[in-house]
Amino acid sequence: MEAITQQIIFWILGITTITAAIGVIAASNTINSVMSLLVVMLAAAGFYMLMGAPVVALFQIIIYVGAVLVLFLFIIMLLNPDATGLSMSRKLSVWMAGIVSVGMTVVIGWIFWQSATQTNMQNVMKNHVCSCTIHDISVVLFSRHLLIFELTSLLLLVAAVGALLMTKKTREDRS
Amino acid sequence: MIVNIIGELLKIIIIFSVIMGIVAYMTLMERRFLGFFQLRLGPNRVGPGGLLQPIADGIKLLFKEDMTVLHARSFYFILAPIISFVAVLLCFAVIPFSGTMYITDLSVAVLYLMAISSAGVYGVLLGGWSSNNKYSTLGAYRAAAQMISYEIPMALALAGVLILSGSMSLVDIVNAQKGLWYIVMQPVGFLIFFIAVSAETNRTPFDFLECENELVAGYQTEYSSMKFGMFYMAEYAHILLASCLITVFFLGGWNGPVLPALVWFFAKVFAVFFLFVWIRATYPRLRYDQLMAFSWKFLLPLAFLNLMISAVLVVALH
Repeated sequence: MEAITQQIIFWILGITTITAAIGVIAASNTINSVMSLLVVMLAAAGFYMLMGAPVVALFQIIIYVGAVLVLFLFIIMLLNPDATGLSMSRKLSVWMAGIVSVGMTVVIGWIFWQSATQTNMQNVMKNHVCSCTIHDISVVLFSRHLLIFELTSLLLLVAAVGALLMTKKTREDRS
Repeated sequence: MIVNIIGELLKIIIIFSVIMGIVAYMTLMERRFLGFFQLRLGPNRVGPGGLLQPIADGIKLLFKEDMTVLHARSFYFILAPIISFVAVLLCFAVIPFSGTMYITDLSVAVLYLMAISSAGVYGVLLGGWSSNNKYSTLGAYRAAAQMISYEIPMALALAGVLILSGSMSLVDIVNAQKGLWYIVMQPVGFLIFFIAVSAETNRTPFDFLECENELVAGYQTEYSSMKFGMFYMAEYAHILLASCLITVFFLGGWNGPVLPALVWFFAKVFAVFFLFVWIRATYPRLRYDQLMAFSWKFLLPLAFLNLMISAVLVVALH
């Protein structure tokens, strides 16, 4: 019973994700693109939930839906690129995006192949038990993943300083 | 299995109807109290003491003409009030009204609340933008900036509570307050949370998204009939949610002597709601730049300081 329910949810989520992902690149209106991306993010959170990782799923929603996409929407509404014809130089960006997405597809395909053929990867998935108390999360975060955690905070600090620097008024601006 | 599902559905329907009933009567309470604060009577004509006023209002809204202005983006125009309303209602799924009266007890309930309530900003943003009207759009920009800014001190104030309780489940948090309420141990956290939540629900010192003397009615300007009604209900459901959260996180939830748990819970919720109305009747609106500066330059550092001190104290006392 439970396996069948999971299968049904998986297919619904999968079809939603792919449809919405096509919507992101196919939509002519930028706002429609962003809203499709929103659906993709929510469906991805659903996948995490299905894999038994509710904490990751909820952080996915908090960070991407609650912060990143709101800012996307905000900027697009403010600049209105459809009406003003404000867009990137086409040629270079298309090539860059193409190379990056082909590279990502190869990497993801390789991981899929690995997990499908190697039994120890399958065991990792099966033996994974969710522990989502604050204590367990903090123990893992501040021991095994401490380096990544600290590097991320450094990255955020640099980004914050950079943002301050860009908006800071220089002496010429003031006069 | 089937019996379980029907039981759960019944519970959801009962809690939903109770919430909608309370939301309807909160509008009446607010209007009556505001009347008394301003030395007038408030609505008291419909039924005894005005008790039927919310029903009359509901019927009136339903019979109004449902307009969609020609220049609006109609899909998002209809979607926006639905998002606002659903995002608030979903949050009630984890609110424990008493030791046994709740829909579900997630072990990550606090994260769930933050995730779902952050989706509410889309309702405002899309509503303002899709109206295609400068007042609505300006209101939506202001609202989005305000809601994102105040979410951060709110989350940091909650982190103080989480440190003390050691759990993200709301039932555990309330149970941890059996002896001493967290408002005693986290007075600064309580103040920060209260201010941030007033800004999130757009209550009066922070009601910039409607700000009638500058923006007509902000993002609601072009809405009529039940679409406006949904925004209105979402607003009051949000205030009810805020009162429930303050009760759960800082006022000991359903804990209290003698009286039954549900009575205690709703008495506290009512007291917090009264505080909201009191503040609305007392304070004038801030200026917009003051509002943003207050969040980033005062509330945020204060919340960090509060978090650091409480973490150090918890470790030291262990």
